[in-house]
Amino acid sequence: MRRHILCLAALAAVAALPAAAQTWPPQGRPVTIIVPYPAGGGTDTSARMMAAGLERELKANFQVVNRVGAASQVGLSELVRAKPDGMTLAYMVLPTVVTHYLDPKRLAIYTRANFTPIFMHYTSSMTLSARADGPLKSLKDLVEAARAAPGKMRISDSGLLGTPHVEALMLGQVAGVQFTSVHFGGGPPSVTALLGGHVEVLAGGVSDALPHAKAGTFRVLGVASAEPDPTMPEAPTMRSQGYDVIAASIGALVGPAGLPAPIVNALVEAGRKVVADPDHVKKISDFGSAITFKGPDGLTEVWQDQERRMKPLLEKLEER
Amino acid sequence: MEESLAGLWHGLQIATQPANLLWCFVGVMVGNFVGVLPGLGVLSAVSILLPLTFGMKPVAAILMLAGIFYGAQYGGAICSILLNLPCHPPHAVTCLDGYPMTRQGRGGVALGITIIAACIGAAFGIIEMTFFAPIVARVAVDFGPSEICALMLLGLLAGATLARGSALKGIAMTLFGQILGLAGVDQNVGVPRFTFGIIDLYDGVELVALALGVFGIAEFLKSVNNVVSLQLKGMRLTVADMRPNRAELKEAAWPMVRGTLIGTLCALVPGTGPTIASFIAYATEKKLSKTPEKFGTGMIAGVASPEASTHSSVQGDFIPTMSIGIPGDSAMALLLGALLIQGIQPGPLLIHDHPDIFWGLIASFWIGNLMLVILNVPLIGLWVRLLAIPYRFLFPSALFFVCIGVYSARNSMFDVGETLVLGLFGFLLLRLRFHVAPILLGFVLGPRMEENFRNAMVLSHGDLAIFVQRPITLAFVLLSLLLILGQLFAAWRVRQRRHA
Amino acid sequence: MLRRSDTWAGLLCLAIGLLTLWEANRYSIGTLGHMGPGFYPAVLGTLLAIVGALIVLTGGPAVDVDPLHAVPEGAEWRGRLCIIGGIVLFILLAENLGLIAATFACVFVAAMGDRKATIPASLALACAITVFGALLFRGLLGVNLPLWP
Repeated sequence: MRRHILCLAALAAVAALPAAAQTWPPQGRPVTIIVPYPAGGGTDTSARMMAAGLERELKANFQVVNRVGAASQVGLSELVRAKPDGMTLAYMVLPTVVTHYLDPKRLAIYTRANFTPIFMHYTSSMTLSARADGPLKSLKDLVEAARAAPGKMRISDSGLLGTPHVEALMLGQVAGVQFTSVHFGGGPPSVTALLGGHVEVLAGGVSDALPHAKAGTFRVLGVASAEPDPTMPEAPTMRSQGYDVIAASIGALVGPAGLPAPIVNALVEAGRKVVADPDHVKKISDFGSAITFKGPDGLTEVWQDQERRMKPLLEKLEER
Repeated sequence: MEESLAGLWHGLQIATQPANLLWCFVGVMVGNFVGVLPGLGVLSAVSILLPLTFGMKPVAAILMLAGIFYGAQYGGAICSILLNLPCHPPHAVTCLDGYPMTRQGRGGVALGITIIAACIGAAFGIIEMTFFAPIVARVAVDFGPSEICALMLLGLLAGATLARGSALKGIAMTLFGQILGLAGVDQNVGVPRFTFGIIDLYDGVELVALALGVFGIAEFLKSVNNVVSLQLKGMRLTVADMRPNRAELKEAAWPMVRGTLIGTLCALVPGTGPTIASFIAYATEKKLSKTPEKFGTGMIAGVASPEASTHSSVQGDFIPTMSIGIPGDSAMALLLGALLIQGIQPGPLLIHDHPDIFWGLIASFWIGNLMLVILNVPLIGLWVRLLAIPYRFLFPSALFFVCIGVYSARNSMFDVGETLVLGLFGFLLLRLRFHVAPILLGFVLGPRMEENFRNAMVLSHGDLAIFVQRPITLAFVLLSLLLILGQLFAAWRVRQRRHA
Repeated sequence: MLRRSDTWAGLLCLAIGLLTLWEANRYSIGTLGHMGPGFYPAVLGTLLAIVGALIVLTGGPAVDVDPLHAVPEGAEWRGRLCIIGGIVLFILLAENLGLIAATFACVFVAAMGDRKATIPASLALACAITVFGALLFRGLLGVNLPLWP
């Protein structure tokens, strides 16, 4: 009996899906994009600009809803519980999502398999900065100082396993030295810590470091991306200084698992047109991010790469 | 000095352009209005209006959004005073003496005092920003974890005696508030604590839910069918009667000055917003008063001081935000986000690169606050008339506003349930003759004390000496010790007298 | 009576303190230089338990007879249950049946809690608040709740 019901349900689902895909995007009912971060931040603004672009391209109504909490875990839990009918999508940030399910203590109800990747939208690179009037002139100085006195070099970041912290951990790993990470609640207090000289180095996004670098109070020791960041071209990458650290927050649009391919394709096509708009590119770069558009396959690849990089870091932290 | 005056003049010319005046007015109006509604804080109001700014000029956008911040403070005290409903956390402490004043038919006077306190607090905050912003910003970054931790300790010690009655029960409530503050993912280790597997609790208990629960819902549960009807005949209702008399003004004067100074100090310390400022101001007033036992029965000082501190702290919070690009809280961070959307990089260069925004904003503070005063003085009479509505109509309506307000703060129905549970618990505490105000204080200060204590220990590599080596930290630690000794001495004297 | 209430108050604090301590036990304490997540909870739990015990022992002087903050002893179950019911209905209905149904139910049930309440008056109040609430929160403030299913 149960098997019959299951069969029927499966049949119904198969029958319903193409129909749903054909009528998608629907007229009248809005498509909800869950943004699991507060309104006005980088992720939210990027998502809102994308939503406006998608509305234009797909001639449908897209509504951004902020469901804040637990470093995006609350909003993403809501997404994976939603029906995969294209009416509920969400923005997520890598590698943050990966830390949710790789850390058993967080009791996440999802892994990568619970999402349908749609497209990767933008990347914001991380930086390490020191005070311009201090003794640290380059990444090498920092690593040497940490080697001379393990744990003496203090690096402020926005919180445990946030991307800035991940960046500091990665540098420690590739250089084989130990830093003392000081976790502040959010980006701004971690910047204050370097301004007030309470720490030696700040780990933070490009937008955290940029204004103070321009004002001449900070020196950017390194950018954790493959290419120099367009907003601070004079700052050297970490790779160019011999430390292979790539750490960035990646914003991407995802749906719940089982989202029909036609819907995904329609969204990818529309998204590709949105990011071709120079005004969109400019707005995104004002938030210290760069457009790095990739379709579902490209996004999956990046996602898997992040999992591979995060696993050893998390295992090391398990000793806490 | 001259430079600042020239800047201010330049700013006035910008802020008085008709379009900017209009947007400033829209901002303060929306802020004022949202401040009156329970739960809907600055954060939700700014998020609602943010999309509107996409098509606006940068100056207009920032004037309007900033207007919401200080506008909300004008509305925030109204429900605290009239209904014992802290719609806006910084004004929770105003309930303690504001509501008793209403019960005595002096609600209008209390509201009048809040407006005067607002003027003084805001004016001081704006002057500070006009002339001392760069200096203040430089001092602000000197406050590291050890300084903040010591200040929080001082606040907790002072606040344990916040409520009337048994000191032990006050301390118990401060501790209980701190325990509530433990819930959530521990930021230093990443372990969810006291969350019992509920992910909605990973960010901790919501401050709005706590305030509206233990004050609002608990109050409804207590008062339903029990409210002693107000003597409306004896109540002063005309605008002229809202004006505090000379004696009342005299009583309020020094508390306002002290509150303003405390608010300024709290604006200096990164991340110490108006809520903490108002609690510390109230506690200070009670400590300094010759009649501390009368606090909680409708003392004017208990309204004037926290209100002044809230306003000066809100204005002061703009200093680090605008002059070094470090927002004090998440709502201020939104303001910086709005600047970024406009293509303007906030940070230390803002004053230099965009003087029209910085000075235009300061000038708009003067104009906006003036608008708010003009707007609110006649409104007092209207608000007080709310009390003429029978309680049986008032409480069901207020209940709905609490529900939807808490919901829309985070789009979370869980938070509404949380408010109910906290309200029931608050009611139990009231029945056991506890005062609930210290819970809020412990809740606000406790987690920040723990976080900063830990970070201070990490920074000093585990050396407690950090608390005596840094001058500002040492000063706060000594003050805390003094407070404890003073308390013990007072207790000892009482005992001596009893034996004699 | 007051003495008894202080005993209960102390016992409640003692219980919360001990529960906190028990829960804190699940997390590592760490050292002063690297405090674990259990350190501060353990300190708070211990302090609250001690304070609770002190309240029970001293009984507390009965100073707190403040007409304003005192809760009347009489059982007022109708009013209280209606308030609780109103909130619960709002929680259950708002996301499923929409703002209009939730507001109406919440206000109507809460209003019936008053001893002087009549059905027509409560209905009228609920209608008025529903219209006002829908216009204000959905129309002006754009709250993220549907108006109807």
